[in-house]
Amino acid sequence: MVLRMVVGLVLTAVALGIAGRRLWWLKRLAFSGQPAPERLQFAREHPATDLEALATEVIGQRKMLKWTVPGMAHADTFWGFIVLLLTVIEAYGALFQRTFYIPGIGQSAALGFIEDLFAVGVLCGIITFTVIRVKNNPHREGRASRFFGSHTRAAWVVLAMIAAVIITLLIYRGAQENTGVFPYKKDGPWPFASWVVGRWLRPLGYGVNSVLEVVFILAQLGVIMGFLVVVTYSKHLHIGLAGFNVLFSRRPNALGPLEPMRSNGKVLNFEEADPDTDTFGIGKIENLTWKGFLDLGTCTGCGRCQSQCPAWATGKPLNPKQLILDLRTTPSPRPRIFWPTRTDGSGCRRRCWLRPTALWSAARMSAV
Amino acid sequence: MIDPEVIWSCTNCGACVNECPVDIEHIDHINGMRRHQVLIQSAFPQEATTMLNNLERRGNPWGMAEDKRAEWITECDFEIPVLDGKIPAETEYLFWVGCAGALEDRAKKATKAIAELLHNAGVQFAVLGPGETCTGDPAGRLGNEFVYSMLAQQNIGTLNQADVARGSGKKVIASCAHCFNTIRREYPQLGGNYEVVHHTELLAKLVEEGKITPVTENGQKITYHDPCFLGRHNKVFAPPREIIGALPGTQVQEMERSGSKSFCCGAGGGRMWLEENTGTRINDTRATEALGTGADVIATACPYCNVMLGDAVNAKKATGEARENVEVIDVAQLLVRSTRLREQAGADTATLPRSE
Repeated sequence: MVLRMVVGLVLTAVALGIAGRRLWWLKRLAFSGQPAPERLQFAREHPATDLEALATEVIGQRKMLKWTVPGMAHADTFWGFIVLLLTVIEAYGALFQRTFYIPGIGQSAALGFIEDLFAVGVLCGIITFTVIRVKNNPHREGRASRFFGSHTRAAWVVLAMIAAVIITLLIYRGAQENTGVFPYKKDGPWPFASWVVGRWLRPLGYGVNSVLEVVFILAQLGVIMGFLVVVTYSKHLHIGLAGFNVLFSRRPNALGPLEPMRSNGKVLNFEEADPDTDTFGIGKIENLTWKGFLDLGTCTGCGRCQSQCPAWATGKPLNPKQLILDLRTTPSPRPRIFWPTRTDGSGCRRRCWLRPTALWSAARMSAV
Repeated sequence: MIDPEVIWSCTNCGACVNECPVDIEHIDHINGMRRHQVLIQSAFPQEATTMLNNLERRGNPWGMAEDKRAEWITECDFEIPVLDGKIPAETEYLFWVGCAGALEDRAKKATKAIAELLHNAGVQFAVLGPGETCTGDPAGRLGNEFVYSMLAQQNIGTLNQADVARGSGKKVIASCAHCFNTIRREYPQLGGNYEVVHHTELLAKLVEEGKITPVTENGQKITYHDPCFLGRHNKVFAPPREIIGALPGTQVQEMERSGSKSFCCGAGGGRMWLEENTGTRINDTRATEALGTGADVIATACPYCNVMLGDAVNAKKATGEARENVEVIDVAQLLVRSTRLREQAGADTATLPRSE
């Protein structure tokens, strides 16, 4: 028991340390840009509108579900993650007390069933994502694939990690059934997936199952902590940032009017503005506001924007997704965003926007 | 690193912003970069120079003389009051015609159709005639905030002098989707607040109230192209469709990409004034989709869309990809035809196909 406690806690402390340091760096990066007092003011003055946006777009997955199949797969995964937070509590509890259950509700058949249902839901979700990614393989489909230029390696790593979260979860729960410490042991087959896995593992005997129980609880926590670190270094930052990005976005959306030009949070008055001291549009990465940085950090490269873009559809160099990813790979030493257009046909454009990471050595945000 | 051609390729159509599940604000970033390129680097596509100069000198993109703006008025066979100062108490609407609506041949036909419909419906309206200048939209969308704000301030002055600001009980009618968006949504940032309606909103209301009655059947198949700045940017999807739906004896065929998923004509974001040499043409792509419905009429509600799709369809007629009788016209023109008797129909719209 002491061993599992020590290993589990050390692992957690290390992961939280790495992820925390990274998040702190990202926060400093974002706030090194321009202020955006109008966004904070709007959020303060319109809490109901903002809560509604969070409820529909984040919890309700409204915009995700505009695309039925990937939307459902994402909703499964997202809701699954929320429900499965309960299993994280259970796993941590089991570090301290083998027979731990969540007080009050933690032994009910309903909860056992719901946890297993969402665990299986998440698995279905990531299987769907795998199929979608294989079908839209950008190496084969080229520009037509919505993942063209997206960070596909990071995507595979994340899918594998989510699969590992669910698999380790079901194995330790199955083993718990056989060692008699499962919180839902009185509920028979209601926690159905764990029950099935338990049936498979039963022939291995009590001894092996005890080992499996402890190993896979630690593996589960290890994978979750590893995932936490990967998220802060990858396109999957959206898990933490999407809610904030929706919260601070323009209402009802960033369409209609253009925003007035602002410098240091104040609307520019051309009669007094000084190009030497004021910000005139975006010429360097630090000209973005923190909301701009939030946009960059939130993009997962899903390519839905690209799929709708008339410029991209007709062979222009603009790809809205790529633009966001390229801005993101602009590094912290802050060179200018722009390169002069080369007219000699030397292929600059291709390298410029296809493989930005190769050009920008200090870029870290997109690399796993 | 971002190649400048990337940011100049954007039509500001808003499809990306509309689609993004996490509310990323692509247009704001692109326009921010355009602003920096124009205002600090003076680097922008050369073909925009003439248009921007014309805006500064003449207040319209073509550099035509101011008094040309009144020409269409003289071509109407009824009286249209041209404001010089305050709007009269009994006049409810100020019709903001826009540069294209006053100066561009195809758009002028739509303007005259709107005026005729309003006149016949007994709506009291006035125009500014030579008192209008460009709203500044093409300059602002191309990143030239300086020219934009100059024109915007001037127009706000004119509109306030006409006493049509919000609270006066007066409304502004815009027939151009870009003017509509700029006056309604952007001028408030500079202190100009107006109640702005798009002509399709007003006409749909007049049809519903029975003040305009479409009677003549034309047996045409119609497809409607949503202008980005009317539809996606301002959520006006239904009124143009209600008008088309009220036309007797017509068949409506939606394109696969319509409503909030509509595909741009290629003219927004100031692209109307830029060359399009890379890849295929956006207007050609959209025209192909529209023709794919088998429609006789591609109806729009914006002069930019009208020009872009009209040009693409004309090019396709030349190559035999489009039937000779296909036309691209404003919803208002369709409506005005339908209110006339058959023998009068097409009096100002030259090519009314007789499909029977």
